[in-house]
Amino acid sequence: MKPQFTHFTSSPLLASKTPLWRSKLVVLVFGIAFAGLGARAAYVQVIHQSFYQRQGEIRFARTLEIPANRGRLLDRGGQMMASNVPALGVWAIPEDINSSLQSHPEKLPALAKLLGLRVPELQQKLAQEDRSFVWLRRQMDASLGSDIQTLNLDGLYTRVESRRQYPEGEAAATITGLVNNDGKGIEGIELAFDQALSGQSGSRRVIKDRMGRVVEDVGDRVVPVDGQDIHLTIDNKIQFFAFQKLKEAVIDQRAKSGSVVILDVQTNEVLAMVNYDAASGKTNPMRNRALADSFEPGSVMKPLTISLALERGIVTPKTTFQTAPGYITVTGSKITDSHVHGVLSVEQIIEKSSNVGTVKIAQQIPYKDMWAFYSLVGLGQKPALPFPGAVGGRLRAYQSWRPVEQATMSYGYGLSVSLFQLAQAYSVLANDGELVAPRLIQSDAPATRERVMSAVHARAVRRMLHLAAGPEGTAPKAQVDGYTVGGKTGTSHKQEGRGYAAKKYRSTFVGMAPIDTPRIVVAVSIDEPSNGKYFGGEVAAPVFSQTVGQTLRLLGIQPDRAVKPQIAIKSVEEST
Amino acid sequence: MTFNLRLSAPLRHGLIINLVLIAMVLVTAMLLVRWQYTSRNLFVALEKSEAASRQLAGHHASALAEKRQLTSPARIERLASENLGMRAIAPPVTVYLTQP
Repeated sequence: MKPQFTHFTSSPLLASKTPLWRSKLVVLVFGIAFAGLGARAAYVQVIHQSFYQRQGEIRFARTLEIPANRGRLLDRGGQMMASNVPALGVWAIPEDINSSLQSHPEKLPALAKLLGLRVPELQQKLAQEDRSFVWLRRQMDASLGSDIQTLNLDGLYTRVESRRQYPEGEAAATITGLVNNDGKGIEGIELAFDQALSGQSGSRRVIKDRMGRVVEDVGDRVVPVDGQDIHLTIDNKIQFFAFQKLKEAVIDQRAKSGSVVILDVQTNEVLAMVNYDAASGKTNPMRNRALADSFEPGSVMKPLTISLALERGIVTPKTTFQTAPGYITVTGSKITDSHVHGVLSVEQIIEKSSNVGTVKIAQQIPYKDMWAFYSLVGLGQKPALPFPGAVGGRLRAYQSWRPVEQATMSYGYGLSVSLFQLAQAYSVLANDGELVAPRLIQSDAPATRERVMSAVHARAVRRMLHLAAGPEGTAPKAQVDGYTVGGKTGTSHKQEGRGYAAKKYRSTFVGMAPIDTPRIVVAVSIDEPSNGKYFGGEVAAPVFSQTVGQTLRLLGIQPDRAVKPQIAIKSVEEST
Repeated sequence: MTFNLRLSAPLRHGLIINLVLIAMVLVTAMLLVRWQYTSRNLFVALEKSEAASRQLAGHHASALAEKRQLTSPARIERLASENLGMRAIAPPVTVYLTQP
């Protein structure tokens, strides 16, 4: 039986047969549309794939810097002298935050307090409405971040950054130096070793979603290389005690500033280098005066002149000179002693610090020899220390010297040196005539040594220095309980304009201890003491004495001089 | 109305295979989307953990710096002299022992 088809309608319109071309047209239109889509897909994904991928990345991919950690500064015992800690930078969009503060004016004082600013200061920063970015405070304590967010102010943002922390504070500030807000070294060791300390930042390419979250890494990461730690030769305890004694002396003597340098004789490592500025009431980390300030050293130069005379065979320690009537005239210029001493041996010339005696010895030395010796011990040239701003002082070429200049240079006028250079020059005497290259950074490489004078003559000059620091010398206050010391005072007038200031002095003392087998050289300089005393033996020698005592104790050096014990010792039997 | 669709056996098998393949494609596509979502969530979690790790490292550095500050010679000397009445030792009040 054939199936029966039912007519659903009797409408002639529906009953009419659809023309075939219409369905073909629809198929064709759809076909073209799909072909167009297919072609576009092929164009986007195959032909111009890299272009569209790049465009997509531009919109969502970001390159993030992975900062390297800045290296630490460590002292000779591995104690931290500088390290990075997390900090916070707070910035604002003035227009946004101002409108937010208008509706919540009570939040302004709270924000100012958190930022450590006064309200007018903060208002002044926020008044720059033409700018879209203003730093409100940088390198804040990171723990304040949540308090700032609690304020919930529009247009107020924080950024994580790092801050350099110096646990030793001002005691080591002139050595460590400092970094700027961006963590770049701008002074001291921070500047000298900025590249090594900074390391190498890394980077990563990431995709961020619309919330700003990193959702995918693109490509390889460039791993950051952290900065190296720098191991200094400084001993933080010696540094602190030297700073403490210097600060006390500068304040007591109402001086302008002062510096102390302590060298380990065996290695010529710098154990401490401290500076104190009374004007600012603290240490200026931008100026290491021991290295950056040069001055006319005065009588501390005499042992160097006499060392050369001994070395050239011009005198022996017992050779005598007539220093009466207490002055000598050199090409019309009168050079005087503070007292009339009469006949003095070379040893006594140092002990009494006779200018006349020293000039008479120096007059027998050729200019060239004197210049060469001063240069050999490091005067007139920058110390071989990796420290920015270190000066070489002034030592004119011998060809231009005149007799009076040679005479004044022999006792420390007419040339200039830094305190560090003086310490280095005296280290030759302490090292039995060898100049050992100074070090501020620890190294396993053996120190370079150069013989400058014979050991016999170096020891002879040390004996003279011992006399100078003895009861009959110019610096009995340099003596230290339990240890033998030797050194030389210097009291020089300060230059002012074209001449010398009548009442402005620089008091210096450079010496070493224990005197037979020196372990340390200590140089002290006090600038413009104005509390009535100004002689090196009165002002600088006591600082030397206190510093030497503490330093030798900290180094564990047994006393080489008998002391009267102030404690009762009860013998006990050893138990088994 | 009834349809009586009669297909030959090979055609019927082909159709079944196609349907299975389409289903598999759909399932794997959905799984792919799901895994990508999970992977991104994990990545975000990893990022958070790394940030937390950096923060902890920062706290550690701060703690070390604080410890160093608390043990600095300046502070110890001040506390010893002010609170405990101590003074720096000197040779007259030191007993030096000689190693036998």
